[in-house]
Amino acid sequence: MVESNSDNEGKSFESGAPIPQGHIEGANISHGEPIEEVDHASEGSEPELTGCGGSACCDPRQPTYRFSSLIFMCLLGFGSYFCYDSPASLQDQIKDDMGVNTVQFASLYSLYSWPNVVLSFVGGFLIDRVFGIRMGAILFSSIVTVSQFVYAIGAFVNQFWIMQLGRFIFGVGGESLAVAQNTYAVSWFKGKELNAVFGLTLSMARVGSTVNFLLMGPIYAAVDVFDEEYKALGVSALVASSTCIISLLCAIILGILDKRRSSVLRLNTAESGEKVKITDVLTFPLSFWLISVICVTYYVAVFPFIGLAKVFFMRKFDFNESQANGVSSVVYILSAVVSPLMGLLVDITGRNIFWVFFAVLVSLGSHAVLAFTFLNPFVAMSILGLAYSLLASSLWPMVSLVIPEHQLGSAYGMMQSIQNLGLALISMLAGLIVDKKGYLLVEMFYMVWLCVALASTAVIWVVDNSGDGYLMMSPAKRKAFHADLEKKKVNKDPTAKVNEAYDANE
Amino acid sequence: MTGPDVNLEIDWPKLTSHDAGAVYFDNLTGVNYTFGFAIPNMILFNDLNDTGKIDTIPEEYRLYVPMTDFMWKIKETFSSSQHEAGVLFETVEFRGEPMPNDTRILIEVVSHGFEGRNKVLPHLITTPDSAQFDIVLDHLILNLTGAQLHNDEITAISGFENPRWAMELVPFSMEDKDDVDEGYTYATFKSLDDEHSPGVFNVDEITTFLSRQTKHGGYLQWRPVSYLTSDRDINHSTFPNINHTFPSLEELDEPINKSLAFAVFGENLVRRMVSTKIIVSYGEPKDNFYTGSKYTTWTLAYGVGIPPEETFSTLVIIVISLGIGIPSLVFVVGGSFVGYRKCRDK
Repeated sequence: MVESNSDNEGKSFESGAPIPQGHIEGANISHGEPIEEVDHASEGSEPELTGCGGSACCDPRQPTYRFSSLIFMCLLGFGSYFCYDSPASLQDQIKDDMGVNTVQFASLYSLYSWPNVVLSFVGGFLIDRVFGIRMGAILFSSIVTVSQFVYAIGAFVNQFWIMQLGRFIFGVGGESLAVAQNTYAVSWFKGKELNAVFGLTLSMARVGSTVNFLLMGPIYAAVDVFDEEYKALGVSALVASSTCIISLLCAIILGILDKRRSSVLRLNTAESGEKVKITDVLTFPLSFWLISVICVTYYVAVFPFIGLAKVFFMRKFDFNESQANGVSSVVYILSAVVSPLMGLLVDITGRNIFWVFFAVLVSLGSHAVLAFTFLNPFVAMSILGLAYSLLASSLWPMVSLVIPEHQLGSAYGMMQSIQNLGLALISMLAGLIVDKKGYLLVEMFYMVWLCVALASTAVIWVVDNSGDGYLMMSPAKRKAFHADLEKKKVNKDPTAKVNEAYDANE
Repeated sequence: MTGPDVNLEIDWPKLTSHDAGAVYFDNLTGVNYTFGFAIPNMILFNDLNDTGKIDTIPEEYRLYVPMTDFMWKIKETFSSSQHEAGVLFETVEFRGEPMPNDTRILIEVVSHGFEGRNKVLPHLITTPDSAQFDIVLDHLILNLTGAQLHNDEITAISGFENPRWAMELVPFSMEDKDDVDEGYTYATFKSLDDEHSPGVFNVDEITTFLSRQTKHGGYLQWRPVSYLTSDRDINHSTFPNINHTFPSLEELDEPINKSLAFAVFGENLVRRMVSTKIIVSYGEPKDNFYTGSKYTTWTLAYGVGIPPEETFSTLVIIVISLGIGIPSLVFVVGGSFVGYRKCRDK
């Protein structure tokens, strides 16, 4: 179960984090939620921990250990979320100091986004197959850090192309880092508080972005002591890169924590021999592709919409610029606060598909209110924010419920790539519609996509209903379902015991 | 508005000497209603506080440019269709001097014989009882004070650092000044649909007393948008600001005396008819003033009757139907399927 919510209007919107499982390949259960709490003491195969190593916060078997790692997991993505939006927060300064126009400025974002139409899939696959999660996280953190330095140097020497190069390198690392972050979340929290953890990482993405918008202006003003203003730009970018260093440190610490956890829990002993192949994507079930369709069609109606919403609020509702900015940011602020709670709700209730359906329907209603009424858009945007948080918490985990675990990396990578591609194309189309046909039609354009999302959800429901109905099960039913599955497996497969040990200790 | 048996006569010698009555109808009893507007002056003003509005600008920061200072030529006429006729004027001289190639005012007047939309943004509604006026101030950098112009990088016009253009508009109607309680009133309406003028949801109107009371008066109708580029992109646009009170015009000053309106109505413009003076200033805060884009448009529909109302287009109605239809279908089909399965399982 995974959810990738690295939400990102920033990054490529939402990173459906690949969840490659280099070190957990043995856990090859179709409906991947482990579940049985096994008495650790009775396992007998784990070393006895004494002294400091045996204390709650140092014992990987204790929840405290898991929750302390959560801090580093959240901070792992902080640097990249912070830096992702740093051009936007200094837009005017960059345009003035570097002497670039709006189109050139926009390239700082497109150079990040377009490569990720492919790189998301490749990144997830590489973590899965080549680097493993620890090295992957450290590597991609390093790339992000280096890219931010390149970006800063570009500003400092007044060479815009170097800044663009920095952003391109950032794109190579940033999205894959989001993959790594989510991979960690899955491998540590699967079957426990995963939805809530993903909600929390989504919050951190928002916080990173918000802090960036709050800080970069003042930082630029504080370092603006040079005759050449582009140097101030370089120095502020350099200051921003300190957040990447923090994230890199977190990647290293997480690597150490994860290694200790693996060795204490003997996780790496399980090698099932399953090799992830690129061609695995061809074997993905219909439900997966439908989830990808929802992923594109739903997010279209959120992030590209928010990109256009500010002017829409100003023109239709006569808001001034700061009011319009305020209303536009409601979705972000709400998702930062509410996502973990929504994740918890889905953790407790299960029935992901119902929540997805509900969230899409409510979002459709919000858009209808925005399009066909003059009601204060604050109301519709707040509801949209809640619905978005709910969807993010229930949609991404569904992938891990329909795809075998050893293919999850490829699955999430593929889903994220589809999302990047779909959003890029549809955003361009939406921009064209606004310019040629206006906001009412673009709102209706979004609503049509939401209808497609709704229809896809209904089809998944029907497909699921025709099978075992797993997606509509409550957590208790899923536990029973897994227990049943495990029993059958133990009887048939001698390696399953290792899986069980892994699952239990997750 | 006249019956079919009324002709418009022009006494050219009188017209060239700007005499009243130079233009007249040969059968006054056939004239049902008269409504129109004149443009006496363009006004260049220094928008000190960057508001886009002219009403608080002192006189010393305004420069009046009578429209009669321009020499006009007909650039194009359109009468190919039986349902559309129009003319496009272009300035060629200013105060006796040829104007630079790229400096010009373009005025287009088009009337349509059908209900539809003008082809040009903001695609105002056309009716057989109305015409449309479109003005473009293209690179209108005029030397009004004798100051040297440096065309390569113009940041000021005639010494004004924050230059904006405004335009005087004098609407007149044959409604009797003594009979109507109030003259013109302004109203703005918000529509949900901005399909025809992307990003502009308001429709503004000025109506005469009879238009409001009997639906047989005159009206001006426009979308509050002035495009700043020739491709009329909403992302590069500004706002036409208009005063909302319309005191009656009491005297005719110099440029109006030379207008076509005066040639038709003479002193009646102020004695008997309901006339007023509106100033339309183009701009809004932070749009970099006129020199930012050196291009401004404004389109105005004027006609007789009640102003046409915006309605949803067929496209919008189809999409709304689909929007409601698809989710409903999903509910019905999905619900039936699940219901069927449950019944079958039982």
